[in-house]
Amino acid sequence: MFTRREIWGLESDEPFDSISLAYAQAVQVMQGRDPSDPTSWRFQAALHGSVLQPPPGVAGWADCQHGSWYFLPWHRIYLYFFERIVRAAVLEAGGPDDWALPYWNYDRPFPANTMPPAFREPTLPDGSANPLRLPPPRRAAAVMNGAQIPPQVTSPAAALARSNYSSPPTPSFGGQRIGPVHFDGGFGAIESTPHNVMHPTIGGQSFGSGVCGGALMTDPNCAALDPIFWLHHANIDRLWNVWVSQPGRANPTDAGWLGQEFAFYDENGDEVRMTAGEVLDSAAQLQYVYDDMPSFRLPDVSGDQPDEREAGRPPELAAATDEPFELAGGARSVSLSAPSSSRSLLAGPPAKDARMLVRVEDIEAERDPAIVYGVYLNLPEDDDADRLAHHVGNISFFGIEQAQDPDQPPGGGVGWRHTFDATDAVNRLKQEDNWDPDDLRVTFEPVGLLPAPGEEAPPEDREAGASVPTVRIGRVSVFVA
Amino acid sequence: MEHALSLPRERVVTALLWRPEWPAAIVIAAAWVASPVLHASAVAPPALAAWALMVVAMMGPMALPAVRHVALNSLRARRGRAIALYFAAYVTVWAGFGCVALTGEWLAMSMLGIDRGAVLAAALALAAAWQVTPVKRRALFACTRTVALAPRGRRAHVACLRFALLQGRRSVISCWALMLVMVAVGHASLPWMIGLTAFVLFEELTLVGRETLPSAAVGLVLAAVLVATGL
Repeated sequence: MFTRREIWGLESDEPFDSISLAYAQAVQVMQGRDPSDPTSWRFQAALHGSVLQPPPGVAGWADCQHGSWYFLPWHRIYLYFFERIVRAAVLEAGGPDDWALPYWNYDRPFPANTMPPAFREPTLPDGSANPLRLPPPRRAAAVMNGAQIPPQVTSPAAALARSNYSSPPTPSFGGQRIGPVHFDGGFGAIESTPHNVMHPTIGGQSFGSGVCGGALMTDPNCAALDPIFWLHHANIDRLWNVWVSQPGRANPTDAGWLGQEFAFYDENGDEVRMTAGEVLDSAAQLQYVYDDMPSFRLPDVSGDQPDEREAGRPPELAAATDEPFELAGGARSVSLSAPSSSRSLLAGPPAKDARMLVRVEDIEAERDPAIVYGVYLNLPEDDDADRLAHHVGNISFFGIEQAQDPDQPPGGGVGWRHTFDATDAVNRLKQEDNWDPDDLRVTFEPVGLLPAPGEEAPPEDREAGASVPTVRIGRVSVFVA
Repeated sequence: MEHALSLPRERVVTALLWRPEWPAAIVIAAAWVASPVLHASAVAPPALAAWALMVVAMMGPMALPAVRHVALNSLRARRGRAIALYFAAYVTVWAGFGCVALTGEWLAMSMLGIDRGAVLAAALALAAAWQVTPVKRRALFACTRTVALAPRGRRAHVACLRFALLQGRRSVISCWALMLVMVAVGHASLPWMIGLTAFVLFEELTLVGRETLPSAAVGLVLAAVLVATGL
């Protein structure tokens, strides 16, 4: 059994320990391999995304699954074989034989919410260049300078609170029952935050020129070239185990989901295929656990599972914006119209079983602006307001270009959209007698990084004079479920 | 006893709420029944009316996911109107194509005297060729594109119409060559209607169908050869 350890725990004394140093050395080895070698750094990254055509006979090229319920199992298999490739390189170099991929749990106070030192140090202990460090524009300058990533971006709390793996009902933990698809808009809550929002936060807003010449983590075709990508995804993978260990949670039992096969390459460079059903239990099936749950076992939920699909009544539209609008990098508030026929849905005391959903629909962009917008319901204009009390979720546009590629087969989702459960925020406003169905506003506000204690505010990441790609939002609506 | 009765009723109500496109499905089912009956009647129906009935039956099922989207994203008070408006506009786009196609049929057969078998073979060959074009692929892949639906007033109607016209145009671009086959067989053949509808639904609504787009052209070429050689 292998144990994946938290990177900040490994680096409590010095930037490099045996695990992170072995990782750095293995990355160097993999980067030195021919890109046509399935065990090379570039080849492995291209399994996630690439603008290049696959070499003849190569399976699984640029096949990452995003925006559907295959997001979690695809990335788990991806990490599993990548870890085996790295471990083989580690062993060959005489590294620790229990080497396992570390993870980065960024949802903790300073300094854990900053880029780990091993990924910022210019050199390895022997004085050679550190392959784990990527200077700007490959990563956001502020992140590389030690800025803190705010809890609004790092927190998986909203995702872990979802009881259903797939949707409908929305939102769900793991994603919509569509696909398999490279990119679509049926995000699960865990994919939305922290996964999607962490990508551009780490990568930054430099687009660069040429293939992967700018921010790596911001672009799905380049993201896996950044060594921190794998630690970020190990954390997402860990959170899947955390979620399924909670009472009342269960993975899908749908035969189509369980039997969906994906192609990867092992440490010998041989093509291997694995299904979602073969990776549900990381300990029993893949022989690894995380250090925060060393005795992880997949809960036994055999027997009749309630069919969560289309249970209860569908969410009902209660209010929406009248016209499409644009986000251009700044904050923007929009008002929602609630016709008189919807008042009964919106008014009244907090209902125990009713859920209020805020949905941001028909999102379009020529280019990912690499900006994360926080979404707030009825946010007061004064600066002293408790912003988190009005916060319902975040929007990142990671992968929107791929999702809107007209030559990309759709997975079956309905446009690029985000659905947030705003029940707690609405109930709080109702209890404070601060809820008026005639005055519904949704505010989009860019989420910035926080300075490290004692430091000045982090600088803007975008190059001076660079324009901010515009995002068009078709509609913002409130549904009652 | 009352509980035993109410449970199935609640399930039916829930199922209908999740499938608000059911009125359109009933219209489509009625078109499937009426279309062959109309053609079997002693008096020949007006060509455009027969065509409209046929496209409701054949192309209507393709519109059901979008009808559902419209219904689930409209205020309850205007859901019925939104469904009707969307479906009518969608069928109107196909009726417009029917005017062009039927005029072409009349020119080919009545004015130029071309044999119906030759027209059918040509239509199948054209459909096969269209199947492998990037335009067809992109039109098919755009089946999940949506338009922001305003919640109320004139804007809501306009948005619904825009959505129907966008999807109607897209489905015509995707399927016009296949529907020429129906023109060639005299838009009255139930086996052709069933076969082509199944074909279109397979490529529109399934991932396998979307991925095997070019290979479906092989079947159409074979059909064209069979018709041309009179086998």
